[in-house]
Amino acid sequence: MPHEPSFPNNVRTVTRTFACYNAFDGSPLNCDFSLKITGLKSPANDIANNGGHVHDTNRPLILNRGKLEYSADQDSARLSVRGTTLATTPLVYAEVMHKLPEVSGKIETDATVTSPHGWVCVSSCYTKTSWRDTITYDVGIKGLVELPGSLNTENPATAVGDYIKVRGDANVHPKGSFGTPFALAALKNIAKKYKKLKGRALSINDMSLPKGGLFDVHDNWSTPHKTHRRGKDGDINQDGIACLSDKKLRRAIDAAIKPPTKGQTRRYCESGGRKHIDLEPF
Amino acid sequence: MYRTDWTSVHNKEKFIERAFSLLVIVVINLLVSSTALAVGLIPVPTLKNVTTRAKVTYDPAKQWYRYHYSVDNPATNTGEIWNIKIDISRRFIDGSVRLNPNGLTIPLGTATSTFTEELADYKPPLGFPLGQSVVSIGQQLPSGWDGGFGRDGYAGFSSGNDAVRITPGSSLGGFVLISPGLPTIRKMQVIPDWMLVVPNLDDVTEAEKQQAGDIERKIIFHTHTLGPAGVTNFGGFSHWNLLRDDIEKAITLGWIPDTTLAGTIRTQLAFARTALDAQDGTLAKTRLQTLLSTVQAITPGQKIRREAYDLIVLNIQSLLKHTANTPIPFEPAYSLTPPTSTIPLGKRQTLVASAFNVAFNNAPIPGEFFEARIVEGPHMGQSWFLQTGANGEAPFSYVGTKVGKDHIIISQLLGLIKKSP
Repeated sequence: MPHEPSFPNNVRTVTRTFACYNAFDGSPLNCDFSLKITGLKSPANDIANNGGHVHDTNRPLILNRGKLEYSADQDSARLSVRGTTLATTPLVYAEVMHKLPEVSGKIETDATVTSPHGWVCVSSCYTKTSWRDTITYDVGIKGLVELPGSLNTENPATAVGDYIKVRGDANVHPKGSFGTPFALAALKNIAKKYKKLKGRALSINDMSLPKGGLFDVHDNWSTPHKTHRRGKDGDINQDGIACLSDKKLRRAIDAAIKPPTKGQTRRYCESGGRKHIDLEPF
Repeated sequence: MYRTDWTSVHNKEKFIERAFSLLVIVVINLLVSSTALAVGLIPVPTLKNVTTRAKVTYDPAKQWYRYHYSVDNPATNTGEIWNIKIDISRRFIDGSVRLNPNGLTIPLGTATSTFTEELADYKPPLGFPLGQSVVSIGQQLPSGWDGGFGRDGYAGFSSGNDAVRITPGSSLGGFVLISPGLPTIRKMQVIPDWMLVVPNLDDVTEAEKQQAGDIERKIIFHTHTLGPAGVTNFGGFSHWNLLRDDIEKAITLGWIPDTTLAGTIRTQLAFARTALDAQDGTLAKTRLQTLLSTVQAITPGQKIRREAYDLIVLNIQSLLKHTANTPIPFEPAYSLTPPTSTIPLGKRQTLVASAFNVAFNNAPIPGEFFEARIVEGPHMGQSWFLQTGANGEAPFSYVGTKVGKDHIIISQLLGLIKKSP
């Protein structure tokens, strides 16, 4: 079950709860527990695990490189907590909060609970006196699909298809052309119209990574892309035609995407010439 | 007195204070409005008092209506027109049959598509709104402009490059929609060139995108024009209703500024409609012809705008062509004349069998078959097979060779059977 990554104005969390009980009368016990984020699921070069980021391993596993949050933490490490289950009296359990990063990927965790002296574990035990599990959080947007086609191989003026994919950071983000099925259908329609209007293929730049989330084009686990996280938008290369003058693209967009009767604009330009389309309302 | 004077002064001060507050509020509102309309690096254009004209012609050979448009952009505007859109949406409730799209083509920059090819692009999830589609159209364009239609159900004429926009103080014609669809009043949008342009795409905020969306809607000049209707049952009640509603709308829009003429048109159409409602299509068409003559006696101009003239004339011509005549009631009756007669022996007696329609002014019925037979009398057994002519009559005769009184009857025959050889 995927967990959505955090967004700049929308923090996503997962909460782990630890508790120990007397199996005979249900009364709470004070067990030791620990929780560690062990890292990205292996193999780390697998797109399914790394979310499409094929660059350094210093990725944020917690939002803003923060810390697992537990009010009675006995551990000073950033990616682990330690405590006892009754330390948060009057609660009879311990809650650890993990603020998920903006970056997608599969994050592995390792949790252990150890029974108090003189008590033994009776169900799903790791040892006689402990219980353990490793949980992998699949952080990402589900349901994204790749825009078909290979990268950087054709000239838009002579391309046979309606679009080509030309992206600059393909070595570190080789799969940057993912989108929702609706967004891809819209983009294909736009490209088809553009080809008829302009007589050349639409040159498509960044969309979203395979599981969405932060698309750090500078390979530094940070913006500039504030959007490109849900598979609903895409950048179009200038391709020698400044955005404001590219009337045929504007026309193709307006024809394929119903102009909103209210709400935000769906297309805008960078003064340097880059073009951006919100293919699907956010 | 003193006290009263003081109060008076005090009240005046209060009034001035209020007036000042009011002024401040007004000024602040103005500032807010102008701020709200500014986002990005491109100034927001103004586009007001645009004049659009439409003229419709009918091509009887192809059964197409050609809608010719021109647009004037007043010099007082700052907006340069780059896109002109006309509503061509069609509700399925107007008829499930699509008007014939054969031969209709849409120029799209470097390519020309057929209407059917273009329509194929609008499939779910990128289709038209539920229950809607577009009327079959083709287009012709001024040089440098592109055609097509979109998911919003509007046909568009958009400039293909910056050189062919309609700048303030200029006008342009040559925009043509071609369709088998009858003229109706349609919404039209005239759109000036503007887009959100920012220094860096990645710094655009949600608020800026919202502001830009608001601007894109606010700068559109909305008007009405003629365009093809989705009605497919020409001459049917929905066609009559559409014309009735369109005439009311045309009057409201000021397309028929002469109120006397507007009243006459409204009355004469209602009079024709009364006959249609009474299932007398023939009379309805006679009355429509009167309305057509009324309108055609006027030159489009001050009394009636060209749009209203074409709307009424072309729709009436279509109604005259397609409204069914009144079905003639049919109740046949037959007679034999003379009913009685006395003739000398050896003389020839001529009789006439007639067929006529008692339900429709005793009109003669040509082509009816009869058998006339002497069923009683000295010449009993003689018979004749007869068919009425154009006057509904079938004469026959015989010579009386025996004295007596013959009794002759005629019977209608549904058909004749010929013995096979």
